[in-house]
Amino acid sequence: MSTRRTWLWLSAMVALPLGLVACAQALGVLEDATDPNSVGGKLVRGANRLRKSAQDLDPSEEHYIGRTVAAQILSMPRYSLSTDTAMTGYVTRVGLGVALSNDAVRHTFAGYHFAVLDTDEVNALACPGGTIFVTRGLLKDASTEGELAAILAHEIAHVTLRHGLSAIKAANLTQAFQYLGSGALQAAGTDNQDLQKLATVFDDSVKDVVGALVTNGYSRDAEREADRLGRTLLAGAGYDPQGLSRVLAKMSHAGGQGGMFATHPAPSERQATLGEALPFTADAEGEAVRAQRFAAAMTR
Amino acid sequence: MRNPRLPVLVGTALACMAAGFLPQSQGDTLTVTKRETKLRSQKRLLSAAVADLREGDRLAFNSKDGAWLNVTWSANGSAKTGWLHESDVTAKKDVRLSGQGIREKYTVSEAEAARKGFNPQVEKAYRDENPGLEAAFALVDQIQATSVPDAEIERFLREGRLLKEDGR
Repeated sequence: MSTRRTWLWLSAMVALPLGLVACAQALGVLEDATDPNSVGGKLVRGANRLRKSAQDLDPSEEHYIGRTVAAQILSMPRYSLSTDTAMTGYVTRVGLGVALSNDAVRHTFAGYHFAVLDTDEVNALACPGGTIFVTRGLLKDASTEGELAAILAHEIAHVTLRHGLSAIKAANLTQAFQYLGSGALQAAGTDNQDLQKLATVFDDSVKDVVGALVTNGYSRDAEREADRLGRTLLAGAGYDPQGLSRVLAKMSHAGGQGGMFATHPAPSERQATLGEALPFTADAEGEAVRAQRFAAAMTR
Repeated sequence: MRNPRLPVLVGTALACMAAGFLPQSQGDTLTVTKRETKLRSQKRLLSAAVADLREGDRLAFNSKDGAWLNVTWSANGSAKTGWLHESDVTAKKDVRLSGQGIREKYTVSEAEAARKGFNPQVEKAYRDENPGLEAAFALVDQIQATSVPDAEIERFLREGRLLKEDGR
């Protein structure tokens, strides 16, 4: 390629996105400054319908989708919420320990929450917004705090990477953004027909996410991506980063149930994708303390 | 044949668009997008809090170091400066807010902005249509009401020898 063409490419690569950013920011300013009922205001608000992908959903929107996904999961006959507060408290401390030790974790609107589902099924489910479920069956299969931390790091990675939201079908998102951009909610009141239509689109979006979490699983690419980030988070929290490969290989017998093991690549493939092992220095004293508190939480 | 430059071009465009949601220069206004968060004295989550912030609070950007932003929050005649994680805030002008955290002093136009996304109004309309989910929503409320103090997480990490001496 000639030097001139290279420069043209580079210029286009810089100018195009900067132009898009400038347009998006200008639209925000104009929307603040215009009357929603004026012609100009309607044009500006129409342009705000340019939101296209799940990445364009703001943190509070992710939160409300995630809350409803969690409610759908808890309404399923196969899942009931464990009342073992000691076990849930321990899982929460391990999960928050991983989340709060890593700058790479995306902060969500209401933060991360952890809960245990009272079922023998071996599974973990991460709702958009950061509510993460692990099953009693999974906790039974885990042998150490490091293995539990590895599972939670993988699930936190799914939330950070917005994999749940990415499961919303493009058609549903487009429809949602059309309603939201139309300013329908400017007229308050639950009898508003537009609000009801929006609730229907919201329902469709939630069903897409629940389908990915509970029935179909994420794509293999998403699982590999969560493996990579999860391993980094595990290391960042002081646990053995190799623990992720070990625990996912150990639990891979659970495949086919939906959720985290439904589409997960084979252990050998996963290890190959992760590549070289990250450095780790074992600490026998810390290991002993963690083994003791893990045993105490799991034997209640 | 697929253009091999396309992924680079698309990636660059997305990265630049994401950069539009982050501050570019000193003095830029940022909006808190978490329901509640803390302005920290140091660039780590478990460091001491300088101030409690709520969704919708406006901050002035000072500088950036990795994932951390140094910002100033001015309220009630005083200004507090500290650190926030970059995912706690946005530089977007038209960010959709839930309206849950907005302080009373904010203007009507911002309150209206809070009604343009998937928000409590939409959840209420959805729940009105799906009354069978009320028990499950009560459980979600219970889960999300759980909060563990920073000091307890720090104690847990130290006990398990997972926290280094500098608290990281």
